[in-house]
Amino acid sequence: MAHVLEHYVSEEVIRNIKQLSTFEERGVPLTELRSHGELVISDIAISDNELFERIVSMGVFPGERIKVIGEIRKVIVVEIGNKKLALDEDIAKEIEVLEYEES
Amino acid sequence: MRSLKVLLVGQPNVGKSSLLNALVGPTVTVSNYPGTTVEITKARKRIDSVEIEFVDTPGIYSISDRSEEEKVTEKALFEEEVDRAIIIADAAALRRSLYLVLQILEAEITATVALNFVEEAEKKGIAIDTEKLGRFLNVPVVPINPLTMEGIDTLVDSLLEIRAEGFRVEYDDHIEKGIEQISSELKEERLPNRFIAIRILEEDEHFYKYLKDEGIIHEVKRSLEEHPETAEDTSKIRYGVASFIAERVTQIVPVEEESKERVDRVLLHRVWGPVITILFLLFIFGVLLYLGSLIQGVLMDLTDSLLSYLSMEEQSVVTVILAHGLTGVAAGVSIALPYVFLFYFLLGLLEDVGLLSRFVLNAESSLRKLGLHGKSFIPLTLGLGCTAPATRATRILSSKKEQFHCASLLACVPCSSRIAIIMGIVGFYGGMGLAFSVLATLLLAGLIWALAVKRVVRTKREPFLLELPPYRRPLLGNVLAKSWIRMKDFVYLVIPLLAIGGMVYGILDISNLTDTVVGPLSPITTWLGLPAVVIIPLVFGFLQKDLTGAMLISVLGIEISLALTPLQIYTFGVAATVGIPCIVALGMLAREFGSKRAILLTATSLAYGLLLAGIIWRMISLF
Repeated sequence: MAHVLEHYVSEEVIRNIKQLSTFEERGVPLTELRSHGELVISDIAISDNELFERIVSMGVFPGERIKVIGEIRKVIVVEIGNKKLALDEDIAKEIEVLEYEES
Repeated sequence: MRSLKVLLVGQPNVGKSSLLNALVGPTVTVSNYPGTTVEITKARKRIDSVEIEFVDTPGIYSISDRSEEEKVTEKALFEEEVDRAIIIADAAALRRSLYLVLQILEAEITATVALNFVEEAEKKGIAIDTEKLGRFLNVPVVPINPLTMEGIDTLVDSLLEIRAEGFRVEYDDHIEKGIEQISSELKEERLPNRFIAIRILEEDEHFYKYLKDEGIIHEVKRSLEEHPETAEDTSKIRYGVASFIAERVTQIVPVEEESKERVDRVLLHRVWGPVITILFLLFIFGVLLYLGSLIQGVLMDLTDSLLSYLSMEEQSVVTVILAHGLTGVAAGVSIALPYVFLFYFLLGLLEDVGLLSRFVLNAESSLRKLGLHGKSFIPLTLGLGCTAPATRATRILSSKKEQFHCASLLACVPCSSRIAIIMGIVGFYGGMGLAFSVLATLLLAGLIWALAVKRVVRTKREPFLLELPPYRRPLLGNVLAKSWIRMKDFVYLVIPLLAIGGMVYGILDISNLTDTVVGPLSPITTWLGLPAVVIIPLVFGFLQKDLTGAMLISVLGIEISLALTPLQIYTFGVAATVGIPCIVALGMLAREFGSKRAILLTATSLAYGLLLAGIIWRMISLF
């Protein structure tokens, strides 16, 4: 993906991605880290193109900060880019995250 | 005279409809629930010597062929003549707003970006340099506030300007190569080749029709073998560019977070959320029951005086038929109108405050068990008002199959007329306890019905993905406008049909045709353990549900409690309320899903109601 994004990408997103790449391990599914505070999206593993684009156009993108603010049964509510989204567990488990560290 | 067609496009809940309000006045629906406008709203205005037609489109997050909203908006954008587009962006969520902006600019539509919620963003410490953003995008960017009318004139002026081409995203070499390859294989089209090629590379099958030969897709894919995720890469680059631009025009000032969000701590709580949703439903139902009984009193006085006035006239065939028609209208106007309107007003209020989407979220897990998407909450709740508009509201679901699935459950959601039967007949003559047991039966019948439908229909559920809009203070005018839009079906379609239904019944009644059904259909009444004449309100109630009570009185006499035992009143209540309620609902089903499916659903649901009522009656009689 680095190749694809080399032309443009916001510095914040780059900063966050750089921070991600210093980690040895890969991200974990959002469903497993949900109780932790501020997170950063490290990858989105959705294979359905349309759903992938939908998710991206809702502001869910690698490098974006995300926070779990609620959970009702199989739906997870997150805050991302000043917006609140409710996601199916099926979608949430395809979103990989890492804990966010202030740089 | 010059005329311009201007499309309003934007992500859900970005203030499109309130902008249209600001542009042309309060003619349209505005809402705080993502995806409420599935239909297109148009409004005209003359500015200087130019006739501008504004077209409000359903909110979409991006251009892809996923939901009903997207299909409607894309049709308006790409298949019809458009002169200009106003793309509304949310200042507090600029990155993702720009994603859609970039995508629309790819289609080379002459656009102006209207930046909404600038003050809200500033409160969050986000300041946006709109001029700089305009220079990046090479289109006018106008900060607006539809509520204070700020920026509206500038926005209109910008539509009349002549403009250069907007910003164009440059993709990676391999994608550009693919675009070039596809571009040379396209039919002559109004849309730019580059745009169509990008859509095809993103595997949007909707655009395959523009290819001279679909075989080229495989060829291109083969040449892109090293890049198996070209479609995803395209979205990624577009988002990357959006975030790049957003960052360069945004200044972040740290501010104290104000907390309007305490409500969400309760509503998004795993226990309290569902509890409050249920309490709310009970509350709304209670209000409706109370109002229903209140209004029924008024109705009786009104129809009585109306009918006595008519019977003073000479009793001709015409006056009798007219009297029946008028009773129909009176029932519609006095029971249903205030009730349905209040109900839709209440619901619209919740929608605009932002609570409705929280309820949808809380209902999701229960509805999922019934095989439905959480969004079905809205049409199902609307069903408590009138089944016909509720049927139309199923359009917010993605697929026709899901829509039909949801609509089929409306058979067991009591509408205002059915609630009037339960309260006004069962409750009035048999006591409130009996009325509530009919309601409980309806609930139970609904659950069984829903589980059965789930087995038959087998809908593939869309994944649940819903934005929860921020809480906003509702605007009375907007809520009223929206309630009116939902009421329109009811006023223009349901009420005239109620009158016609009443008159048809009148004709059948004076020509003594009603009695002809009593004999042949007596097996039904025998099955239900009811007097044979009761078939008249049951069958003809289908023409005009609100007349069921009056018909029952006319066949049995005013002392219904003497003519029927409590168990019979209960059985009648169940038989009259389970199933698709009336011919108007049947018509709406036919309009949305075709007459074959509509008739099948109606017949099955009515048979189910009769079967159930008969079984319960027999079971109770055993003890």
